[in-house]
Amino acid sequence: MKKLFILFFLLLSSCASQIETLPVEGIGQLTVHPLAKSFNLDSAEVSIDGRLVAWGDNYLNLYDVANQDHKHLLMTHPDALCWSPDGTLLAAVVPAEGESHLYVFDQNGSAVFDAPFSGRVGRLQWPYAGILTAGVVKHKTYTFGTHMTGQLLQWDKHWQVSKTLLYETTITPATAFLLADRLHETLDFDISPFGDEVLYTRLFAPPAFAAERYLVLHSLYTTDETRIASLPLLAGKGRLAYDGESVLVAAGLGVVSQLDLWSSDLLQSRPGTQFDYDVVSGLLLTGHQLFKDKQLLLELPLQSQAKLSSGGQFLLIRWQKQLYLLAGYPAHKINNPSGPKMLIIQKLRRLRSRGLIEQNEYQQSRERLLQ
Amino acid sequence: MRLLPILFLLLFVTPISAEERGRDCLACHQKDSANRQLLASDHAGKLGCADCHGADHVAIDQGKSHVSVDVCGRCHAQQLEEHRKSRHGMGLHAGWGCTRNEKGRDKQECTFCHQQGDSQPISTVQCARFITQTSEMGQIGCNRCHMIENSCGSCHGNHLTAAKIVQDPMVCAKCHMGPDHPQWEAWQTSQHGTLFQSLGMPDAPGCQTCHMPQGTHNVSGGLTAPPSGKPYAQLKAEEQRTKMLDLCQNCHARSFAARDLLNADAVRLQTLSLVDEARRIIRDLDDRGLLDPQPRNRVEHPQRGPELVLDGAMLYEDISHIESLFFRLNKYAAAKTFKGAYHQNPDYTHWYGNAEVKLLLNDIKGEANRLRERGVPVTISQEEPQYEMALEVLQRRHTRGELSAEDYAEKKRQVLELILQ
Repeated sequence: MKKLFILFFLLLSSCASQIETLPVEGIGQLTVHPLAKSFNLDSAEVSIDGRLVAWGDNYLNLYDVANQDHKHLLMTHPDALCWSPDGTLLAAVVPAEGESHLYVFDQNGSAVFDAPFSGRVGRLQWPYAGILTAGVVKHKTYTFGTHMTGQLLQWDKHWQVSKTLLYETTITPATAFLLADRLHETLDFDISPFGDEVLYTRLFAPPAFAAERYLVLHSLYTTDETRIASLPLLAGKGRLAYDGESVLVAAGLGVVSQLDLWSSDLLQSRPGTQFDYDVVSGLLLTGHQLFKDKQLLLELPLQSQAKLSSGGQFLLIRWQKQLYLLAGYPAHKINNPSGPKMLIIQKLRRLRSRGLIEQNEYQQSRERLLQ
Repeated sequence: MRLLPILFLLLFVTPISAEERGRDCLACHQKDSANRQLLASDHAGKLGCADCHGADHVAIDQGKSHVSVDVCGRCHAQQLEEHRKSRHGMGLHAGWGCTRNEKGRDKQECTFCHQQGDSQPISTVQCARFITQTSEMGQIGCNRCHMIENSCGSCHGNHLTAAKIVQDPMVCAKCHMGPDHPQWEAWQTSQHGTLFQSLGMPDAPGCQTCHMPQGTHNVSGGLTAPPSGKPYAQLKAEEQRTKMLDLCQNCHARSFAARDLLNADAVRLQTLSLVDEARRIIRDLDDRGLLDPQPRNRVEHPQRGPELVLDGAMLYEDISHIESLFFRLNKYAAAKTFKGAYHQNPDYTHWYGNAEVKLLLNDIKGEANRLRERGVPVTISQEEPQYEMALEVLQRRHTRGELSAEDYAEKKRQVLELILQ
């Protein structure tokens, strides 16, 4: 495995001379590797080691960057896909006769697990080892509207599945018609690094009300919910920051904002209609710029599109019809508290979500703990 | 010659008699009890079947021809208005976007908004005890009385509708009796009731005499507390009391009646104070985690979750023994005391009511002692989930006004210190 890494980085280094082909400026020993393949960036996911790229078109594709090996894993377009945190497994959900089917592949493209389930998937997330999570929308149409539920399906390391209902609602026939077979895309979610809260998007369109989509913070302990922002029906998203205390929001207004979850203070604001955020490294990609906290790390060409790999150490960039893999910028893993301190923070967060302590009491206790 | 078209039109606008309107129905329903009752009622010759049930026989067969209060209200508008202002008209039918009248609807749709057998949407169902019933129990044990909101037939009967039915206090007995509110029994065995049995109306008062004067359908006139139990504001209460005394004055000296009702008010307050004492004992046990089983370890309350509920939404299943005692004290014995006092019934006020309240309070105190001796009091400790429970107790005590804001903050700080150690 170590040899493979060395070989891979040698390969990347050998391509460093081609950096002129991609006008990028930034901090670090930047290396650029042009890819021989071309595909849609929106549906692509890069593994944590930057070696494998998966994407969906008419197929589920797996591409080995180092040896340019391209495989078709499934003969259908996936609704969602993601890599495991260690990059050894790829999960993909494909629609199957109105239902869905989960497939998990190893790095060679061999299926190691698969399971059907009802509903369609808006997003897959593998926040930490052993918990693969899908945001699933189920619906049934009646004369007066469409009844829909949004839930999380979670598979543990033994592939045992558990369900958490997030919401249940009835939407008007007009909204159901408008969204048609994209209803499942209205559910996006992000599980907090502490596993105790989930940020998700909730469609609200009952009779006599205008259709809206909210970004909601849901406590998995108490099921209490806080409305964070209003989003367009099929655009915009929210992600929890690495410390679980703030949220990044793109609400379709050309601005990406970072808000404190409990005080609603605006922590930062950047121009951009969309963003990509990696919770492991704390990197924020918005517009054509890459930030760590508030520091600008990279400036990409204006006409480019980019996406962060799992773990944040690689950027997949499309510029002038060519795809590149960029590495070498500072993308260190953030040291979130672990062990006993992590447990105490989880306890404090639980007390806060239950309303047993106030936000200022939580903050003071947290600061003392992390000193 | 010019009159001919008018005469021709008149052929079509001549009123059709009730007999003619019911003729189609009578071909099959001539001997039905419904028809016999209708013919014996005040509606005979004035209404045909279709006037109330409509002419859509398929709908009638499907049970969709229920005669709601709105149907009766077409002719009895004033009575309907009075009914709606009264406790009898309180909302059980707060439907929102309901599809029940849509053609070709799927009946399963109902379950998105309604509990099985319930006419209220789930989100606004007020009665926790209804929610926990089976559908069958809900129909017989709850709806038979509470459907009065949308059914004049609850009191008048469906077809006979004779005035003598609803002038008899017996018509009220169906619902206003039993351990939770024995108004009928309290009246029947009071001096008012015994005189009524000897002399009848108008020489002795029945339910309708005081609660439906001049035939009003607003049965809430003269009452000083709404069903919630919280008394009206003083001005409203005085206005209501004046209305009642105006009635009492027909037979009694006003001062005598006023004194009697003031005594009943005092009995009510004294009883509520005993109920409160019992409630405080149980809350204290809950704070110490001594209830057996504790609210967090049993079936959750359908509206309030895993918390102790001792108010009007209290359930009588899945609770601890001491809460069962409290339920009897509050729901049965205390209610008998009030109802007995306001209906001038000495036995209900004293032996069925007050004595039972005090005996049950003794039992609650004894059970509380037993639980205290048996249980381990909650102390502030780092052990999970003790610290969480300690914070819960502090919060409850603060909410109840037993702990000042400063003390609450200080005690919370102590708990957080322990967690951080």
